[in-house]
Amino acid sequence: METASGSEPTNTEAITPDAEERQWLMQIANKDRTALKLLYDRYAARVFRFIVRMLNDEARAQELVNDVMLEIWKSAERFEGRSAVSSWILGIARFRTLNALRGHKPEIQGLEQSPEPVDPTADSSHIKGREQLQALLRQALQRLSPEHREVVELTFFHGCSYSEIAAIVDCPENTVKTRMYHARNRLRPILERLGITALDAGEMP
Amino acid sequence: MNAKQMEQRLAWYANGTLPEAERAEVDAWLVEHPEARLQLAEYSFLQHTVSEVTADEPQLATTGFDELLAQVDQFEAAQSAQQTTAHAVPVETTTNVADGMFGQRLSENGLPENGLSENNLPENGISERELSGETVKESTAAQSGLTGFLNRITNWVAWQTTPGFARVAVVAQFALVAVLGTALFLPQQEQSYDVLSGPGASTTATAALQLDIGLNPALTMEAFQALLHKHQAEVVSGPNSLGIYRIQLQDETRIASLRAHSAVLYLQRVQP
Repeated sequence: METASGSEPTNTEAITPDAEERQWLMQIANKDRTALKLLYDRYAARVFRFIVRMLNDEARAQELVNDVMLEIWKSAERFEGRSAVSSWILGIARFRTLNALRGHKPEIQGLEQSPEPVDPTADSSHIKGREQLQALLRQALQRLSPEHREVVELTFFHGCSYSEIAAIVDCPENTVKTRMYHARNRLRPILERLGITALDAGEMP
Repeated sequence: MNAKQMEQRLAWYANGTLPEAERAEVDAWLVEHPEARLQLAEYSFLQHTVSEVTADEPQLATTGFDELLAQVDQFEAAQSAQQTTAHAVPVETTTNVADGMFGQRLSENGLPENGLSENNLPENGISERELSGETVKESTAAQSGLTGFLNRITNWVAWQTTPGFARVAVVAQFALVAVLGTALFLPQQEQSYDVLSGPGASTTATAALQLDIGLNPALTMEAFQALLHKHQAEVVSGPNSLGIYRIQLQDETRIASLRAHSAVLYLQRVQP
């Protein structure tokens, strides 16, 4: 297994609106393809991960990554630097993803609508360990609504602060916090088992 | 700060992006509420799970950037074509006719999306040649003379891509405008009325040889008409209160003959 900090860019790189990325955008605005390559190398995998986890459609995600990068090529000169570069890029990715999601309604279901609902009353002895719990959690994550899931993904995969997420999804910061709160409540049946498992394993902080 | 507000911060406490002041508040709150550490552990587990890319998850295609460059080339070519059409100015376009460096055949056709100019192609960095291999330049330098001018006009109005019925309508409108414009500037014949009697008598009549004539009151109308006819004269105005007519002669030599007639008592030439 690779992690977000492995072959894909680190969270530190993602959340820092550093001057290097702004410089790349200025170069891209001047049609510099080298800068586009540098930005692609840094962001394409992250953008792909965000889209494919939201869409559950690999082929469409591959297309949308290039749509996002082409949009950057076209719009780089309009980047005003009022937000972090990463927020701007993820905002474009989110916009494209939500548009694509309109044709993917069946993939988005609430936990209560899931054909394989997570049973909070199941015997915890069936959960063999963290890996099983993680698999169960991933399954549950896929059934969150797009609004809840994007907040979870942006927070924990992309390492965004709540203010950055508010900028990306274009909503108040309190709304971001509330969405995370509700997402956790939806995942609670699984997360509560974590407490049991973690306590059993003596891993609690 | 209530417990719910603190709980809502835990996710970003876990991912390490909480502002320092808020982080300190959460630290203090966790000390006072050790049971909340369970929630923090849940968020940490969630972070660990979400940030992990499992082996069964799809990966970004390695040819992605090649495909992106192909799309960029299409976009730039479309922009170039659009600008050439819009401004009808001679430009030098670089058309890729070979497989790209990354194995993607490039097309010069695409959908225009904004007004970017090919003149903005990078001077530094990777040039289009470096990215696309063999290129052929097609010079569309301006053609001279009338043909060139007409070609530029047709390009400018996108004539070749205009539907047939629209072309007919455009030509018909231009023809109508031309006819109306020509008619507007043609010399106009002024409409006027000639008044043969009274103060507004015709200026045309007064310009000719005119005379005032006094007749014997016993002269009948028929005899007067015969006199006029004989001398090729016609009445311009009259008679006035004194019974004087103003007549017009075609031939000045007839004045003497007219004056000699027994019925003519008075004959006076009118000074122009």
